[in-house]
This record gives sequence, structure tokens and C-alpha cells, in this order.
Amino acid sequence: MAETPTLPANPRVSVAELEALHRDAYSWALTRCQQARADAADLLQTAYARLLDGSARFDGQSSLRTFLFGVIERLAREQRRRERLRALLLLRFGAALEPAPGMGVAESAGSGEQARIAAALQALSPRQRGVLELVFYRDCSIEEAAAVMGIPVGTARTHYDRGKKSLAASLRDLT
Amino acid sequence: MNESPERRLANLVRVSFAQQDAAQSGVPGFRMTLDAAAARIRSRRTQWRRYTWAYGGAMALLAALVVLLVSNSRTPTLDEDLALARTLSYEAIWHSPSDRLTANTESALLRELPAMPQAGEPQLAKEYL
Repeated sequence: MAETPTLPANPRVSVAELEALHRDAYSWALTRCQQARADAADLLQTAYARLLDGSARFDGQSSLRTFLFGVIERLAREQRRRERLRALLLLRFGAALEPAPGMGVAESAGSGEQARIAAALQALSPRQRGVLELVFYRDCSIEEAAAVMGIPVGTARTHYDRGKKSLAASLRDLT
Repeated sequence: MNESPERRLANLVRVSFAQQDAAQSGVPGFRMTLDAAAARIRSRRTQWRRYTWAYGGAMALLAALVVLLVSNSRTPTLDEDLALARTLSYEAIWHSPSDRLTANTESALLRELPAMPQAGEPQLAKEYL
């Protein structure tokens, strides 16, 4: 039987498995970048580069999807931190700040109801939104969501509960 | 059938994310992304190599410059000075010693050569040295 090709620096990552996850990973990267496509593509490329050069190594302790989502989340967090620092420096030196592309309420919010849900989701903290997205939309368990977000399970559970309560309060009439 | 508020909320969130996903057209191709990532690594390595060479070269140049400056500014030890003096000709020692030799060496040489050679007796001093 022919062996499935794997990444040289990450022998546990099969190329076929990674390809099967590609669409999902891009979609996760998109939500991590507030729907900015170019940023998401760049983020995914950086994540793959980390897998290729072995600086992010998959040890098989979780599923490949959890691992890949975790890498993307970490990179997105680093990027957000850099952007905050840049914004801080720009503010300090008095330059006008340009809003980041794709920020704010999701562009795809069509109907009034959807726009409200999107706005309510945007109002959550990035971690709450991340955990809710992983659990509600990407069918992860809270443990997997915690692994992806790089936080303890108890913290993930707290984010999940608070996010849910906050959403329920903003969308009381819809639920 | 009545849904629980939690399930209804989960459904709303799911639909919202699904709509966002559906609105996104044009997922970049897997191979293209992977190739771009590989190209990025290659370019980073090339750049790193270039920086390393440039940095190494600059450091070597700096080190050579420092060595040159230090060796030129250092006062020679007495032994070094005497060794130099012994290689010099009699004329160099007695007629223009201060150009090449330090005061210490001059006095050391004078101690080595207690008898100041007279004019016309260069061989004596040479033998002595």
C-alpha cells in the first residue's frame, strides 16, 4: 500500500488530511481576522509555513483540526497584539489611525435579524466569540475549544457561559 | 415542536456563521497556499543567510579594525622593544633612538650598553648588541 505523503518536518501531518481541512481552516482564519480575506489568506499561509518548517509540531495528542485551529488562533492573537502595539505607537506619535479592513459588523449581515445576531456576536470579546463559534458552529467540545484557544478548560467554560448569557440578553426577543 | 431557548440561540449563531461562510467566495486553493508557504520559508532562509553573511562580514571587519587599533596604540613591552632594538642597526639606536624606541627601552639599552661608543667605533656597539 502506498504511503500517504506527509510534511517532512511534521511527519504526523498527512497532506491529504490537511487538504481536507483547508476550507474549514480558511473559514476559521476568516473569523479570526474579522472577515478580512487577504489577512485570512495570509494567516493560513503563515500557519502552513509553521507546519512546513516544523516550528508548530503536531504530536497527535489532539485531532489535526484542533491543532491546526490552535495554530491559526495563536497566530491571529500574535497579529492582533502587533496591531494593538502599532496602533499604540501611532497614537503616541499623533498619526491618524486607519480602521483595519473588515472590522466591525460582518459585511454579510443581510436581513435585519441576521444583522442583529452578527452585531451581538461582534459585541462579545474575541475569546467569547471564538469559544461560541467553535462550540455552536464548528461542533467542537468545550475541551477542544479550550485547546484551540490555548486556555484552560475552566476558562473556556466561563467564556462559553458568559458569551451565551450575553447573546441571550441581546437577542432576548429572538430566542 | 418547541425548541429550548439555548438550542434556539445555538441555531441562530450557527446560521449567522454559516451565512458569513457562504458569503465568502473564493477560498484560496490548498496547493497554492501550501506552495506560497514553502516559498515564504525559502525566501526567509535566503534572507537569513544574506543577513548572516552581512552581519558576519561587518563583525569581522570591526574586529580587524579593533585589533589594528589596539596593536597600534599599545605600548610595546620592554622585551618587545629590546627585541626590536636588537634588530636595528647601530645608527638607528644611537642616532635616532627616540623615533623607534620608548624611553624605558632607551634606558634599558643604556644599561645594556654601559660604555657609550665613541664616534668611529660602531663595530664595538654592534658586537655588544
